[in-house]
Amino acid sequence: MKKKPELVAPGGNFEKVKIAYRYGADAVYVGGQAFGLRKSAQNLNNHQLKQAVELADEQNKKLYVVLNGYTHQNELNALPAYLEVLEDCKVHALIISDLGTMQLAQKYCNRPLHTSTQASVSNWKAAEQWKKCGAKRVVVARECTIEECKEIQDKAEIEVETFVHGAMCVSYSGKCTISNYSSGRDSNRGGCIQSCRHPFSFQEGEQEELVHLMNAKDLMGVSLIPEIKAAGIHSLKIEGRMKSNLYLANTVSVYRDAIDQDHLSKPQVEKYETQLQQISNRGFSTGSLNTPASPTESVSDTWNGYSKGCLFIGTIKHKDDDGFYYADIKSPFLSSDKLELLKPKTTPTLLDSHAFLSIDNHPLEKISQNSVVKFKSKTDLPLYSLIQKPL
Amino acid sequence: MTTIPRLTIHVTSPEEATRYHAAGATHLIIDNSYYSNRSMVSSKDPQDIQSLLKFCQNLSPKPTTSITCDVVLHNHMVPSIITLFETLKDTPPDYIRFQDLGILPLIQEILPQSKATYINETGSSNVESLRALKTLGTPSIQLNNELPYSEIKTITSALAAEWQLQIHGHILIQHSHRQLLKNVTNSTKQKFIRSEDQDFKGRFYHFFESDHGCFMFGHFDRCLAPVLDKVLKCPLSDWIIDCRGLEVAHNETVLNHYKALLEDIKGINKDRLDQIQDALAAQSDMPLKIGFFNVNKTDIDWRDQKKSKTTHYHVLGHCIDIQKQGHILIELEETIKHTDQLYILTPEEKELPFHKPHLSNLSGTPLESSESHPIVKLNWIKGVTAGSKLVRLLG
Repeated sequence: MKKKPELVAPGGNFEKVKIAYRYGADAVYVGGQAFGLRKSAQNLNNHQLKQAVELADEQNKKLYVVLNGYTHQNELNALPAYLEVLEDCKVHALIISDLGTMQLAQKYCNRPLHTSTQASVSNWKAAEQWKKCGAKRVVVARECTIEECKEIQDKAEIEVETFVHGAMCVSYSGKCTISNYSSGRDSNRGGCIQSCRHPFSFQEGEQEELVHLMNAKDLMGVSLIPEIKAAGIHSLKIEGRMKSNLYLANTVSVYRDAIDQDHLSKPQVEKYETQLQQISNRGFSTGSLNTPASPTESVSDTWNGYSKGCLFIGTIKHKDDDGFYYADIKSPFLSSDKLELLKPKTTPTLLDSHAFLSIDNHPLEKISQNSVVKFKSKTDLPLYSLIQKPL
Repeated sequence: MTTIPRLTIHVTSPEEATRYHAAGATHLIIDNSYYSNRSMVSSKDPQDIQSLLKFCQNLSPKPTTSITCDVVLHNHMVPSIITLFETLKDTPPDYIRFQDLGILPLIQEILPQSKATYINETGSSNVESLRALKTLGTPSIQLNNELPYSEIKTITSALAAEWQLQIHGHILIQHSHRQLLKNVTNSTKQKFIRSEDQDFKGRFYHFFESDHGCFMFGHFDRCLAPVLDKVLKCPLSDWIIDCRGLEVAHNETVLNHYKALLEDIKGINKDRLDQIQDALAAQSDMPLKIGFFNVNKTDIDWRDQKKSKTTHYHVLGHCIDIQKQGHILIELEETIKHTDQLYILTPEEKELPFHKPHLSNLSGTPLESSESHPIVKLNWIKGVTAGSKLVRLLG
C-alpha cells in the first residue's frame, strides 16, 4: 500500500501554524523575517520560529521555512547569518528558489532543502540537477500534471511536492516581472501586485474587446486525490499564507479528510467541493493536474468579484473557568445572525448561542470587527474553532 | 572594454542570416519554435535547424553560431531535445542557449563541443547563483534585463564568464504555459497582439503566442544606446538585439546603427549618441527606454522604504480588542510582568509607552505576571488602534 501523501499547509503567522496543525496538516510552511515571497504576511520572528518547531516536534509534524524570493546581490551578505538562525531553530526544511541561496544554505546550515515552485521545475532532468545541487525535494511547477509529477519523482528519485489548492499565477511561477515594470514592485521578492488580473483591451476587427486575459482561476484538486495517491506523490501543498484562518482551517480539513479516505465516492467529492467553494474564491479549475491547463477552463475572462458562501466571523481563543468562550471577531455581525462553527475533524455545525457579551459583561446586539466577545455553548468548542456566517 | 563584443541577433532563415550578417551581426542565434520559446518560425524537423546552422557556418567571415533551446522543458520533450542534439553532433554550434536546468546535462552529454549559455529573462541573478551555474558547467551567461549597471559590475568583477546582455529590443515580462490569446482572438495573421492595460491607460503591451504558451512584453522596448558609455565599461561578450518578429529591414537598420557605434567607439560623443538614438526611435513602433539598466529601485520593496522599526522590538502579543478610555485586550505570545517596560507599536509604527501598565486577567483581577493567561487586559492608552502590537525594546 502506498504511503499517504504529506499535507503541507500555509502558515502566514504563528496562530495560523497552530490552526493548520490542529485541522490536520502534516507540515506547515512559513516565512521568516526575510527572503520570502509574502512580505505582507505577518511572518514569524526568530523566537516564533523556535516555538513553531517545538510545536511541530511535539506532534511529530514538520515546519518548513520559505526563502523563496530571488535573492539579490545586495542581500547576499545578510543571508549567512539568517541561515545560521534557521539552523539554530532546527526548522525541518528550507524552501529555496535561487541556486545561489541553495549553495549558501548548504554552507551555513544543515537543514534539508526543498526547491521552490518559483524555480519552475517541470521535468525529471531539471529535478536531477537540483538534487545534485542539494535538494531533497522539488515543489514542481504548477504546470505539471500528476503523471509528470510521478515521472519526475520516479526518474530523479527525489521527493515531489505539488500544489493541490489555492490561488494560481497565470505564468510559470518566477517567470513574471509584470509588477516590476508596471508598478515598481518586485514580483519575485514579495511585491507582486497581481497586475496580471487587470482588464486588457484588444482590437478584434472593428471592435475593441475588454478581457481579463490573465485572471487565473483558483486551483482545486480534491477530486483528483485518488489519482495523486495512486501515483505516490510525496507531498501536497495548499497555497495561501495571506488568507484567513477560516480558509486555512476549512481547506486543511477537507484535504485531510480526503487524503485519509481509502475510497472517494462521487457524492463525497461533491461534498468536499461544496465546502471548499464556501470560502472566498475566483472560481475553480483543476489547473494542470489532470491535463495541461486549458485557458478557457482555467482563466476567467471576466471579473465578477470573489464568490463565497460564507463569511469568516472569528476565532475561539480562550475558555475561562466559568465556561465562557472568548472569540476574536474579524467581521461585524448581529447576535440574531445564524452562525456556524468549524471544528477540527468535522463539517460546519450551527452555533447554539445568540447571547454575546462584551468583556465587561454587557449584552451585545451588534458586534463589531476587531473586538472580543464572550458567550456560552452547550457543545464543547476546542481552541481555534472558527465562527462563520452563511451568506 | 578589452574586447569588442559580438553583435548578436536571432535568425530563422538563410535570407535573414545573409542580411543580418551583411548588416554587421557577428553572432547568429538560430531560432525555431520547436525548441525556442518564442520563435516566430515553426518546424518540427531538426534537419531544418541543422541546415540553417550549416548555412550560417558557411558565411564569410564565419560568424559565431548559437541554437536557442530555451523551452521550459516538460518530460515528454526530453527525447526531442536529444534528437536535436544528436542531429547537430557533426556540425555543432558554438553555443546552445538554455534556461531550463534539465537541458544542461543533455548539452554536456551529447554536444560537449558546444558551450552552454544560460538565459533567464524574467528571473534575477546574484554572484552566488551565477557561480553555481558556472560550477554546473555554464561558461556563458546572458544577464537579465532587470539587473542595473552597478550589479552587473559587481557580478562581472566577481566572476569570470562570457557575459551577454540584451541592448535592444522587446523585454519579456511574463511567460504563461497557457495559450491565453485563444480566449480573445481568432486572428492568426498577426505575430503580436497589441493590448492596453485598462488600469494603466496609455500602456500598450504586446502579446505573442507559440506552442510553448503566451508571452507578454513590456510597454516599452529596451535601448541602451543612450548609456553606451556605461555599457562599454561592462566586459560583455555579446550585445544582443532581440527583435524577433519584426521586419528584416527594421532589424538590419538597428544592426547598422549598433555596428556604427562599435566601429566608432572613440569618436562617440553626446550629439552622435542622440542622433543614433533618434534614428533608432524612428524605426520603432514602441517607446524606447533604458529600463532598469541605470537603477533598479524595485530592489527596495515599498515596505522596506519606510525603514521599518520592527527590527528594534521584540513582539510580545497582539491587540485584539480596544475599549476607548477603558481597556485593551492582548493575545500574548510570551509571558509579561506588570513591572515590564512595555510599548504599543501601532500599524503605522508609532511607539506608545505604557508608563505603568495595569495588567489583569479577563475578569479584571490584577496580575503580577501573565503566566497561564493567553489573553490579558491592559489599560487603554491614547493612540492604540486595531492591529497594534505589544512590544518590548530590544537591546
